[in-house]
Amino acid sequence: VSQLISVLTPVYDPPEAILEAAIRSVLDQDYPNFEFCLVDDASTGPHVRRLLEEASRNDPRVRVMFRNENGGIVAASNDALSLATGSFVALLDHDDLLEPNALGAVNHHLELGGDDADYLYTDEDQLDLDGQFVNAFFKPDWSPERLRSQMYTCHLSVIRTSLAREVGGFRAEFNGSQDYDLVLRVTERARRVVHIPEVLYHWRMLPTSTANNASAKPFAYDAGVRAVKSHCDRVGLRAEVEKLNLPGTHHVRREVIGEPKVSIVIPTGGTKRRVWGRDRVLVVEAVRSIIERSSYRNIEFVIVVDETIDPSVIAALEELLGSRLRLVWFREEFHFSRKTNLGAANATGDFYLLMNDDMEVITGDWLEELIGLVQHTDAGMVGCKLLFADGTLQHAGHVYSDSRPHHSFFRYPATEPGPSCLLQITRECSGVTAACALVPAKVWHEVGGLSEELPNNFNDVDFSLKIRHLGYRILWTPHAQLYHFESMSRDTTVTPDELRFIQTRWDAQLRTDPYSNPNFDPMRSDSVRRFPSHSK
Amino acid sequence: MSRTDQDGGVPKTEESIVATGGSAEGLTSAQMKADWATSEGADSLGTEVERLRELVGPDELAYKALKLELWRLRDTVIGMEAELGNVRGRCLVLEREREDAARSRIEREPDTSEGVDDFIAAAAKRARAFRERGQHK
Repeated sequence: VSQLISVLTPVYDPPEAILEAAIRSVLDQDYPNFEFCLVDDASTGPHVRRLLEEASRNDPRVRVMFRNENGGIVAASNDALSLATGSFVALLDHDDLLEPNALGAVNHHLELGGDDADYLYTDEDQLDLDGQFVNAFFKPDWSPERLRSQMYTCHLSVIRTSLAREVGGFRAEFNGSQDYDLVLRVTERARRVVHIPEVLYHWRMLPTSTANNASAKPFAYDAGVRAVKSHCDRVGLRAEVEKLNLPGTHHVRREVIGEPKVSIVIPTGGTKRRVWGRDRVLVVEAVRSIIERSSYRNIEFVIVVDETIDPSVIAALEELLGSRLRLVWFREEFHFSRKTNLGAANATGDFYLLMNDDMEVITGDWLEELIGLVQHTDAGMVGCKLLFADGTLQHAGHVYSDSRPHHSFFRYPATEPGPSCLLQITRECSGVTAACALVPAKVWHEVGGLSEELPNNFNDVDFSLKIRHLGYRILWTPHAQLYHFESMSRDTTVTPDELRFIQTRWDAQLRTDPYSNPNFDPMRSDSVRRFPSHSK
Repeated sequence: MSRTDQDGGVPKTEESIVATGGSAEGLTSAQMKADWATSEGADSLGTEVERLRELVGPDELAYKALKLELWRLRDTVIGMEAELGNVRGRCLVLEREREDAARSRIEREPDTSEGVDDFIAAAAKRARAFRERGQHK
């Protein structure tokens, strides 16, 4: 069924050629079933009225309204919404361009997905002052946590008209981030959100636009923070919204409800290694860093140890932890999954924090951050930002592509924002490492812990995919940071059997990662665009 | 000639020694031995002190300085390692940017040499059409 799509464009004094290009990009669509609702917000330039009247005269699908006085973008956008008769509205700024197949692709995805899609968004890029397409933003599939962290869906946004009206349209108090506010309210009620992984929108970089200059509209970022706070209040999320240093990004800091007990499960052989020029017993220093630096107190430590462990390690742990130590003896050959499962079986907490012994806490409120994320959402697991001893990224979430799991942005600097700031914000990902991840006890038991077919490697990949298979999301946060002196305590050689096991069990999931993008090179884990393009 | 005469009439008291040396540690072994010589068993005690000093090093202050130096060196190791990691990471970032930019550029402006794929030409044509539409008059 061909849907009538209403393109909404508020207009206020754009340069003539730019407005003309925007209008032509709509009229040249290869999909005919649209209407174009243009509202002039009392522009001062005479070319605006001329171009709009001309477009309206030449094409019956063009509907034009001229406001008597300038009311701002929110008022003009609401007027455009009131003109719409289509079942969906597509939002286009007066200086931007649609790809010729944009509306056709939207309709195609509506046809594919049944009738419950209420909100669609596409990939986008920017059109610089020289007319070059730059900064393509290839987006993940629907990621509500990421939307709280930044307005990532942005352009092109297509909303079911009835829902846009039901939530009250655009709101003046969020001027500058009125789209963000609307999309937050729409997605709270949307039955299904669809991502179209194609660049169908070109955002023009003008000196006055935020596409070109992040400081052009500082008020817009403040409005964005308020929009997210308003969203949190509506959905009952007890949280503070903090503006991060990178423009347009936020940290939604959840309040921990009650004081649930966290069982930190650490399998260890009591290994001693050299870190930063000093010898250390890894597990002792990991535990010491937790108790010395963590602000959260309701913790029990379940330490699973080999029979061969040096008694002085046990003595050191007992001295550090006293009654908080729950010591579990492991009497088999090294088997990470079995050892962790044994630890979890002895845990009594509401949440299990899976942890390797070669860690060191950096951020004091790391546990509050992790607990807040799994307490308030449908997340089944949340992972941390892990750094090597040299400060480079060890873990920023998994990416699954080319039938293999990868650590995204492996070895990048800790301060690197990543494309579209993805390394500095809390977001969904396909999986996280079990080297340090928080899981609600309920979810752990639902999925049956780590699969013991995988003694050494990929047990966390399998665990992540089992959790997602049950419908939970997996989150990664950069606001809980630890050092991970990886591979110091075990052999990480991957056996062909382990790889074959996960490839057989999770064939489809390891080929297509919903939180990556088909436009990225599947052989890489750092968001480099595929060549040739996926959409070609 | 008495000691008092040698020192210009100023009697050498314990206070003056502290004032000039800063602490009893400022005494030479010979001076200490001389003082202890008046008490019983002082010789063997002095020998023990000498032995302990041999074990510790030149003196306690030097030992403290050595510890500070060690901590400084450890901090330097961590700092150097972090700096090395940062530089290594920056290389990755730049390599990624170069690769991404190269692939984007090829899509926008095709190589005109032989064997250019059709899709590149088509993409460039499309991009050019958009550029022409978007130019300022």
